[in-house]
Amino acid sequence: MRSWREKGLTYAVVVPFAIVLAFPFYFALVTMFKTNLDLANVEHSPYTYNDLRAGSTGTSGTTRRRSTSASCSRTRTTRRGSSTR
Amino acid sequence: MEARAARWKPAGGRWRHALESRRVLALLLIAPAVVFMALVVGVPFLWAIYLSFTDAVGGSLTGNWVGFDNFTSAVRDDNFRRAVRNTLIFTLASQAIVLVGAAVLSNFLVKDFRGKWFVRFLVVLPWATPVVLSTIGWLWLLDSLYSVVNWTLARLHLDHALVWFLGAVHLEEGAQVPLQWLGRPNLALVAITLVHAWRILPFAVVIFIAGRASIPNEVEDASKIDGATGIKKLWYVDIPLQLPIALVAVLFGIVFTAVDFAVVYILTRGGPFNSTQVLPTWAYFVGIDGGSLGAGAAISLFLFPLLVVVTVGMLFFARRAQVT
Repeated sequence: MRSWREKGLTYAVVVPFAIVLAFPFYFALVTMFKTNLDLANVEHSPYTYNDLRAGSTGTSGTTRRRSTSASCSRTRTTRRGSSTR
Repeated sequence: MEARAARWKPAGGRWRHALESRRVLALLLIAPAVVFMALVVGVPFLWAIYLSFTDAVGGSLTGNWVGFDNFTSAVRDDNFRRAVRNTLIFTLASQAIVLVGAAVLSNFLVKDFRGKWFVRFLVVLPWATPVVLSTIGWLWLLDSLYSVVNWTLARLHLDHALVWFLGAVHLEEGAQVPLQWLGRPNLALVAITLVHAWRILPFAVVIFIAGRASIPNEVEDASKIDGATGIKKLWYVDIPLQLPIALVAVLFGIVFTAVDFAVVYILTRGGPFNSTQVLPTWAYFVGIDGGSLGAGAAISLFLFPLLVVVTVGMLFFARRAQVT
């Protein structure tokens, strides 16, 4: 490795490839621990685990900011989910 | 039995001589593989050829001879033509992506950097996982309502821009904001192509890295002494040396993509409106789901000429790659 610039270029190419190629597996790993309710809520971040027990407004940043719309959409999704299954 | 054992001498016996001879022993050792391949590949293949000339239906393995009717009616079918077109699109488009991606990525993965083994591990994952499992993952990632891709695009405020772009390049006109990746004909083509490319890329990268390693260091040193740098080195040294092995990777990729059933079947079931059917899924839907065994066999046999050409090319280039 000749210089830090070359090293930086290597990381700039290799890291995006690795993220794209491995992302479905990361997603599968995170989803493994989620509840169905968490998955079915489109306001929740799909990238992280959202703890539903922490409070009625959820814990992800976007849900906290718009708690009313989030809880509305959650009840909607829940009802739809239970009616189809 | 005991008497025979007593008479047995190390150098004696007709069979021992037979086993010593190269011709007999070689045949004997290769026979299990040949018999196995004949039973597992040869018999079903010949049976498929026979079925394609009959009007056999599901539940029976025989039928009345109908000549080339199955082939002619398959060719006249619009769905079949679309399946042929899609097979070619998926194969060529995904292999183009794979070729460029693997060339770039393998170039950087041979360098030394911290965490190289971990990056290599992440890169190889898609190839190491059964295609069915990873495709089910993609099914969720591209879901109509819970799509992670759409979620991310919406959070980055890129969703409307992407819809506008798709309309502007006439790829998918009239699309709406939660993009239906698997529910619109052209978007589904794009999605399936990308999943194929995602799956084959690690395989091509591994082969490219192996090919790079097989080039002796002396060539590198000699080109350095001769003052070859940058584009000229790439064009006159790197590409000619790596071309045979790259072709092997691409030909393997073509075979893996062209005969693949799982990706299309899991992601779209050939839909919407049979717009993403490929030859394997179309043969399955006609022959197994629809029960027209003869017609399905005829459809699947249309893959054969393509695969013969690719296989001959593969063997040819594999031999050349070994020599250099």
